[in-house]
Order: sequence, then structure tokens, then C-alpha cells
Amino acid sequence: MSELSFQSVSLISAALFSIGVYGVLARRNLLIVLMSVELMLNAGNLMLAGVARMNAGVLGDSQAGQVMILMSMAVAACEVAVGLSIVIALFRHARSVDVASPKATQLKG
Amino acid sequence: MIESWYPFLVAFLPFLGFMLTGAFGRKLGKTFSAVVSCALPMLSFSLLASVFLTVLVNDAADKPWTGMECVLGHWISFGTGIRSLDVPFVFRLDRLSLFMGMIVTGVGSLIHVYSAGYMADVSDTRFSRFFAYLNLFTGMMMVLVTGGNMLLMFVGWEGVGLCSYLLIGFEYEEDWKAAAGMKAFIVNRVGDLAFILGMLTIVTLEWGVFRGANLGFDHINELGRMVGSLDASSQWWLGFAALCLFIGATGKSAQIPLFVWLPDAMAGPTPVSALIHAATMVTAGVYMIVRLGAFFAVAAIGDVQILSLVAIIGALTAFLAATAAVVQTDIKKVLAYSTVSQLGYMFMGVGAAAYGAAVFHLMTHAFFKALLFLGAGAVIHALHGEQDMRKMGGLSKHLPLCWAVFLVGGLALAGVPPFAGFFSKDMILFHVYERHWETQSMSWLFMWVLGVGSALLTAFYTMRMFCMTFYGPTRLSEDELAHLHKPGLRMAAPLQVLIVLSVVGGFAGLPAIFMKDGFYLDRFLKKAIPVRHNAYKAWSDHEKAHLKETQPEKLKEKDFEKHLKEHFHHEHHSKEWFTMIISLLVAGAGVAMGVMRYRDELPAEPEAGSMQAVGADFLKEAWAFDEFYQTVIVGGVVKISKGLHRWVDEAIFDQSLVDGSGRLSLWISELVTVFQNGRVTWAAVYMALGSLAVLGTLLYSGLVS
Repeated sequence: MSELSFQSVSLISAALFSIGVYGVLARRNLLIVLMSVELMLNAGNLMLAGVARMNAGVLGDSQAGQVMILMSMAVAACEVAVGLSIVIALFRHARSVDVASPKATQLKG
Repeated sequence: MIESWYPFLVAFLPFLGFMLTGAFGRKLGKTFSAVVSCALPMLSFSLLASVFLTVLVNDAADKPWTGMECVLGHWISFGTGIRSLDVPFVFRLDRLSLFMGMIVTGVGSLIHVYSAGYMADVSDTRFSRFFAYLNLFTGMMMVLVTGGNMLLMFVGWEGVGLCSYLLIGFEYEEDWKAAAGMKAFIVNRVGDLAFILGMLTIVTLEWGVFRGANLGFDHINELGRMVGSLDASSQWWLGFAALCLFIGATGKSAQIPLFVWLPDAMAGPTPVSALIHAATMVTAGVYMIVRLGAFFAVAAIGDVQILSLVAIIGALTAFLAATAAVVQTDIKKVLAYSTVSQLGYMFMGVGAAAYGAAVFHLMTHAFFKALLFLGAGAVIHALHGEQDMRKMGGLSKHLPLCWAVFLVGGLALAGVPPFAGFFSKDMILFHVYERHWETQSMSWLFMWVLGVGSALLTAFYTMRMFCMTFYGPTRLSEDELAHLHKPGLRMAAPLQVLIVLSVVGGFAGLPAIFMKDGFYLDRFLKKAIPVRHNAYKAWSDHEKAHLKETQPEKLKEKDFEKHLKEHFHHEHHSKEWFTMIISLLVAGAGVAMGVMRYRDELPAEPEAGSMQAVGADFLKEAWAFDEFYQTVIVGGVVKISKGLHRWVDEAIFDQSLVDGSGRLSLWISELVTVFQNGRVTWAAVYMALGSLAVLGTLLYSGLVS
């Protein structure tokens, strides 16, 4: 099996992050926006993994990086819980999860 | 000058009365107000009378009395060196201010007593307010005549204008009376503006000549005496200053063009008309010009002597007002126009440099005009407010005191000897004629003719007023006749005093043909009047110049000067007799015509629309001066105001600036609203852009590589 180069990992991570940014900025469905936020978080985690693997020989082993990833995932889980409760609150108010719906855009002007 | 408290005291006492009556009159009742406010001017008068006796004693013993002064310190100290203004707070009592002061406080006290009777039926508050104002007026007038420099005189000048407003508009609950008060004050103010300009010009002139200005009368008269040494531009400014001061005098003394307030001022209670518009305030202009006699004597703009202008305006005013008085139906309006006319005589006298004669006429006029006004007040009081002469008549048996008042006052006004008015009026007319004889100029002759014409009209309208009120079939009802309110003691006593004064007052000024040294009043005032007109010199200069051209050899005859002097005296005497006889004839003719026309029945009113009616209306409205001012000046100002309101207030301020800034804010905010459409994701976009900007800045500035 050929080695997975650091360059490839960075590239994939960047690509995933950009897709996540696109989703946050340009999608109207709040659930999609949430998923995109998760995607951005996980892209960051991937980057962490790649950097940990790369520095394995230099700093000893790659456990530190992988532990950081686990902590980040825990935080992501909590954040999703909060985010989904906001979505539910919006749905109760606006009867839809469209960020452009009239009731959701009442804070305008 | 002696240092003494008297000059200040005689001016201050009436102010004390004002303060006491004003503060406590309401609570302490009418008796308190009346007693305090009558007593204090009388006290001033007695002080002045004691000084007068001292003067007489000194004169008889040939010890000259030069006057008293009271300096209360500096008032204005401004600048240093030559361009400084150092005006002291000084009161001066010399022969002229003593004389004026006695008239003011003397006649004023009589009017105060009269007012106590006239205003007896009003409430305590109104009564005390009235007397407080009367005292304030008296105090201000005393400041005017005892002020030791122009600025203090101006304080009194404006003060009497204020009191005139307060007193004319005393019953301000009626709009037209309040309006009359405002008119008096505003027209006066126009004159005051000119007065201030004159004062400022004088300060500049003083700076050019003396080491520092003080607006004192001595400085100003000195400017007049040294006019020959000034350059042409300064001489012009001197004339300009005199012109400005004279315009101020026309405002205060109701001459053309600023006389329009005086007929309207009859809206005030009759004692007010007597005090202010007969005896005191309106004489302020005459007093000022006499005070600055040397200054006015030489003031000229180009070739026009300011005093000639004064005389012309006086003559025209005398005539205009006399024509207006002939057609009035309100008894007070007749007297008002009569006052304007007689003031015109005083200005004619002053313009002819006959200062003594003008001041003499001032005194006699104060007596008989106050008498007439107070008598008119008694008649109006008796008739419960009726002022229209067409509704009077036949009152000679019912109001005997008033009948006597109008008889004596009327004959004095008409200029019938031996009553007071004859001597003073005749003296002025003689001096005007003398001026014509000296200069051989037609304008002085014209003025003399106007004066004589006015005298004829004066006699006529006086008798008209007298007969319409007291003779002929009565136009009052039986009921009204039964309820006539005869004047009580407080009104009657001053009337009686003034009757006596109107009879004997003339003898202070018997003309020179009867007395050796010229008339007494002139001698009394001699030192206080800053300049004397040397009639002989004026006439002889003219004669010599004339002879030089026509018969130069006569100048070299021996005894030429002696012959010239004899010729002068002979001509002088004959001219004096001539003018006196003309005055007598004219007065007699006027009286006769008036009595004949109005004694039995009122002549019929002219038909509406006829030439006569139109002419009568023109005269009645004082030659349409009021209408002219209303259309041109008031109308013009209103038009300009409306235009400014439309184009500046509304267009610029309201629409462009105020509304415009509002609209601008709204427009900007609408631009900004585009960024806030309420979509959360757009907020995320801005957040992303912001963070990119921060990152870029950090990279760019090299903090992060």
C-alpha cells in the first residue's frame, strides 16, 4: 500500500472545508446549514489527523493529535444538540426551516 | 458752578415717589398714593423755587449766580488718550434748567392734584399705578432738564418716551388705546435713533478736537464756537450731527415728519395729555436745541443752515396742524393739533435764533395748554365721557368754571392781549420777520406769513371750540344736563391757579418797545443760553455788502457807522410795532370769525363726496400723513416680511434645512437597509468576509507569514 502523503490529506481537508463554507453561506435550509457546519468541523479534525501522523516520528507518537480529535468530536456533538434545539425553536415560530421565510427574517432593516 | 445736592435731589424726589407709590400704593390705598405722589413733585418745586429766589436776590445785588452742579461719579470710562469717552454722572442746575424745572414740577404738581380728583373713581390698584407712572414721568423729565451732558439727557429723553407709552396706553384693556401707546413709543424711537447717531457723530467730532470726549454741553457748544477752525469735512459732520439731533427733536416734539403720534395720544386720560403733551415732554426738543445753541447756530450742511431748516419745519408744522385743528370734532383732538401747531411756533423761534422768545412761548404755552386740557378733562368728566363737540353746546351756565377756563385759555392760545399767549407768540413772529429784514431772503418772509396765517387759524379754531362747547343750543338731553358731574375741589383748584398764570404769565416778557433792556426773561436766562444773535451785526453786514455793490461811495462818508446805527434802531422799532399790529389784527379777526360762525348754531356738515367734504377729510387726517405712512412704510415692511417669510423661512429653513435633513437621513438608512434582510446566512457571509479581511491585513502587515 502506497503511503498517503500529507499533501493529499491537506487537500482533502481544504476541499471538505470549502464545501462546508459553501453550505453555510448559500443554502436556505437550516438543517443543511447545520450539516455544513459539522462538515467544516470534521474537515478540521481530518487536518489534525494528518498533521499528527506527519509529526509522529519527530514528537514521539501520534496519540496527542488523535486525542485532540476525540475532544473536538465531543464538542461537536454538544454543539449539534444546541444547534438542533435552535432549529426546533425556529420551526415552532416560523413553521419552516427556510432561513429566508418571512417569519425567520423578522429581524431585518 | 457751586457743588450742591440740589440738582440731583430735584430729579430724584419724583423717583422716590414712583418707588413708594408703586410698591405700597396698592395696599395703602388711594389717599396714600395721592398724597405721596403729589407731595414729592411739590417738594422739588419748592426746592427749585428757593433756588430761584436766591438767583433773583443775587441778580438784584449784582452778584452773578452761575449755577449748581452735582457730580455723582463716573458713568462711562472708555478708552485712553485722545480717543476716549469719559461721561460723568452729573446733574446741572443753571438758569435754563431751573426755569424748565420749575415749569415741569410746578405745572406737573398742579396736574397731579387734578388727577387725584379726575381718577377718584377707579380702583386702588389702577390709581396707584397711574400716580406711580406720573411720578416716574416727572422724574424722567427732570433728569432730562437737569442732566449735565447729552447722555444723561438722553436717559431722560427715552424715559419720558417710555412713560408716555405707559400713560397713553394706561387703559390698555381697550386695543386702540394700547395701540396708540405703542404708536407714540415707536415713532419716538425713530427719532431716538437719529438722536443716537447725532451723539455718536459728536463723539467723533470731539475726538478730532479735544483730548477725549465727554458729551458735555460745554464741549459741544465749544465745538460750535470754534467751527471756523475745523476743516470742511468736520464742518459737514457737525451739520450732520445737528441734523440728526433735530430729527430726534421732531420725534419728541411732534413736528413734521414725526408728529403722527400726538393726535392718537389723546387715547390716554386727559391729565396725561395735559402733562405730557402740553406742558413737558413735547418741549424737550426745544430745550435740547436751546441748550446746544452755539452748536446749532453754526451747523450747516453745504449752504443750508440747520437752523433755517428747523424754522421752516416749524412754520410748516404750525400751519399744517392749525388747518387740521379747524375741522376736528373731538375736543381733545383740537387741543392735540393745537399743541403741534404751537410747538411749530417754538421751533420757528429757535430757528430764528430767538432762543429767549422760544423758551418764553414754551412757558406760556405750558400754562394755557395745560389749562385747556385740564378744562377739557373737566368737561369730559362732567359729561361722563363725551368728547364729541357736536354733542355739546350751551354749557356756559351749567359749568361756569370750565367756561372761565376755556375763555381765558382760549384767548391766551389765540394770542389776545393781555393774556399770556400774545406776548410770546408776537415775539417769535417779530424775530422771524426780523430775520427776513436782515437777510432780505424770501424764505423768512414765507415763514412769517405762515406764522401769521397759523395765528389767524388758531384764533378761529379756538373760538370754534369754545362756542361749540359752551354756546348755542345745547345738544345734550335734559337728562344728561341734570346729571352733570361738576368738578370737585381737587380738579377746580389747579384750574384756578392756571387761569391766573395764563393771565399774568405774559408779563415776564414784555417786548423791548415797552421795556428798556429787552424782556425780562431774556435777561434772566442770558448766561444760560450759549449764544446770542446780534441782530445789528447781521443786518449791518448785509447792508454794507449791498451798498458796496450799488453805492460804494456811501461807505466812506463820515459818521457812516453812527448813521447806520440810528437807521437800524429806527427801523427796528417800527418793525416791532408793525408785527405787533399785524398779530393783533389777525388775532382779533380770527376770534371774530370764529365767534360769528359758531356762536348760534353749528354750520351744516358738507355733503358727503362734495369737494368740501373731501377737503375737510384731508385736513382732518392731518394732510394724510398717517395714510402715507401706513401704505408706504408699514405696507412696505409687511410686504418685505411676507416675502422673507416665504423665501427664507419656508423655502430655506423649513423645507430645505429641516425637512431636508430628515429626508437625507431616511435615504441613507434605506441604502443601509439592504444589508439587513434578516437572513441569518447573510450574516454568516459578512462574518466570513470580515475574517478574510482580518487575515489579509495580518498577512499583509507581516505579523503572520
